[in-house]
Amino acid sequence: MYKLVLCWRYLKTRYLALVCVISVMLGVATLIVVNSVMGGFSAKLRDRLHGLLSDVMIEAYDYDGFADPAGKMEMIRKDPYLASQVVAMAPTLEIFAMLQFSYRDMPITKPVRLVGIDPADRAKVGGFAEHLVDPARKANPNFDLDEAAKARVAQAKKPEPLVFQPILNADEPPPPDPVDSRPHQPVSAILGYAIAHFRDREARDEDGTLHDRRTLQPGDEVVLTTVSSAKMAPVFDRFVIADYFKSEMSEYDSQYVFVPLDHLQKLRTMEGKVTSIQIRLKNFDEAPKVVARLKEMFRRQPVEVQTWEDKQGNVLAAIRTEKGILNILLFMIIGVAGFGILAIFSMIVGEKTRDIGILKSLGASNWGVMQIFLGYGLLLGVVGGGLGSLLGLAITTNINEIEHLLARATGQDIFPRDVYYFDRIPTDIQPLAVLLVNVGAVAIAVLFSILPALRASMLHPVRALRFE
Amino acid sequence: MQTGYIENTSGVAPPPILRAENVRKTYRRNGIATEVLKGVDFAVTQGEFVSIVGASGSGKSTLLHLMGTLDSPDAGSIWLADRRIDNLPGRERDKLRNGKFGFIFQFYHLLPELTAVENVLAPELVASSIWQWPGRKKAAFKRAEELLERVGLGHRKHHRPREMSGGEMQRTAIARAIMSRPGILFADEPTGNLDETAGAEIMALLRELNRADGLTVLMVTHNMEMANTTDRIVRLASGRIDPARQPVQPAGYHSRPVEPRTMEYAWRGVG
Repeated sequence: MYKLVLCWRYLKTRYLALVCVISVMLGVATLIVVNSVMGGFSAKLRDRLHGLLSDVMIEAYDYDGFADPAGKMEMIRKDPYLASQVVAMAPTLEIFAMLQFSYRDMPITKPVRLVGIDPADRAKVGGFAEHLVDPARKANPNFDLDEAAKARVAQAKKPEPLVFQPILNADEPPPPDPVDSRPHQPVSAILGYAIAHFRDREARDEDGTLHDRRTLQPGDEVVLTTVSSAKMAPVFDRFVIADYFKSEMSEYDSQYVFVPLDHLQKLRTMEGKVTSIQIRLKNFDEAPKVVARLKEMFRRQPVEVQTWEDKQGNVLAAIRTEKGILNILLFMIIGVAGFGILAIFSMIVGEKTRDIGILKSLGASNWGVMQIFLGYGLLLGVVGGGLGSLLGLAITTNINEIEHLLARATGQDIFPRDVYYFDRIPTDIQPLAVLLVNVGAVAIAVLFSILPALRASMLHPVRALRFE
Repeated sequence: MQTGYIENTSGVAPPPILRAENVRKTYRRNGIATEVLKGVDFAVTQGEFVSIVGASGSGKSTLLHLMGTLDSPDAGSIWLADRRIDNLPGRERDKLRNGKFGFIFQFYHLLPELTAVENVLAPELVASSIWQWPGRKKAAFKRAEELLERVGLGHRKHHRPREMSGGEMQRTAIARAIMSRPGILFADEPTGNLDETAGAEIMALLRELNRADGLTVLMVTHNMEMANTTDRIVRLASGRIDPARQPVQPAGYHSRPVEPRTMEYAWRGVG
């Protein structure tokens, strides 16, 4: 019982021990905050990657694509196992392209990834409709222009028609009427949000919020240039912006341009061909079996079947590695706290030498004395870990407010929204991670108490009593 | 309380409760060996109040520590009644110090984090596990408070050592020493750090415990005046007890009345 009483009294009366508590607390809080933010980023990234890629993909090996996507989808529907697992399928045609437009009379050219889709089909496999900026289009994804866009198209400056003034001899018959050449109606496109916007660092609200400056409005025209399939000849067409695609993934928002699948097929002379079929599953846990079945089904076709995780394997592995390394590095903070505990405990054992002698004269065993200091370390770890958890959770839940305050105080963007295109810092508090951090902190506190505790337990009672 | 005293006139010396046989102890420091005890034979009988005197460095505190199992002799043996205790395993020695022996030191050695009553409770806290404590707590507190009352510190029970005078701290230390109802009390210069009045009060308290409770008291002191109030004086010189060079014994030597009831108390649990 004396161990418990003394541990508690030492904790309450030895202010030096507060240094240990604070160091453990800060270490635990830092780990929780970093883990939660990293977890938030990671979850958001996974969400985005997964959302955009659908669960399983049947992909062509090259940009020439593969033929008969409808036939392939029909085969999948007829397979009893696949039919039971597949929720939706969407054929897509993807190719690199150059996008040109004019902003303030300056020609701007950007490399993009041109994706031909049927918006309704693509929405069924997920990761598309929910990222469209126009709220009306989220429910009914399409390439139709809204009224404002149509008005902007109508107001757009048309090129002056060429007026021919033929020099006619009186005896010559009049020239034939020109052929019926109704004006070319540009097809609509949905543009990645970051292609049509840039974040203006000068345009900042009072609360420090950055605003985006738009370079292309719905109804504006762009030219997309790509290559045809067979001859690799340049082909191009004009498109009108119908909406924006904002996934908050910089890589996608700054590159993707969605256009109608049939139009892109015609433009590239790839009628009836696509580069991939996106498949959504009922249950992603079944993905390996589905992939195996699809591979078997299309083993003689020039296609590759993989899950979104296979396709993004490197990115996901990089995230995992980054998180792991960061955790190890940050855990060293608690390691440093552990050395603090070792130093301070050694001092306390020195200071408490007489008390140890007294306890031994009263019949306390060596193991009992050791338990006092191990218990003291445990208590410091538990208290430090508990306070650190509270602090870490408080910071994590208010991280955006804290970031705003710090950004305003320092004048520096701590979380550059133009890089991530997230409005808020994403966080994901994992109870298991919080628990593991606490267990680790307590274990380190106890581990670093062992040496001073051992020293205390080995003290000779007479020498301890005579200690000056 | 003090009824039925009988004079020990039987002529038969009572059996020793504690004895040292040819005890030797050498301390080594920086390669230099200092032989502190050079073969000491010494015995204390039950209910006796013995003082050990001698010059500084004569080995009197060392002898006290060896007999109280705080230290081990290099040679010789220590006996508690008919049980050898110097070679007991550590845990057994811990139990002896917790339950059978009580210690008082010159510098009081109270635990500064604890209040007076908690300091008195300390032996009971050491003896109890977390699970045993709730069952013992009430009785332990009651006894600790009674002991503080007995040593005249009922009003100081919630004070910490730093808030008490030297005499009060030593009385608290005495209350702590008898908390577990020991048979033998070891006092190492108990008045060495106190003024004359406080020293006299402490000696009176020790004498009362010896007389009323039948506690065997083994005290080390420099102070011959204090030693003269005990039953017997043993002089240690240069690590030896020379029978030829012992001081004049106090009046009443070997004729102190012994109460039969307290004899049982003194032997309680010994052996």
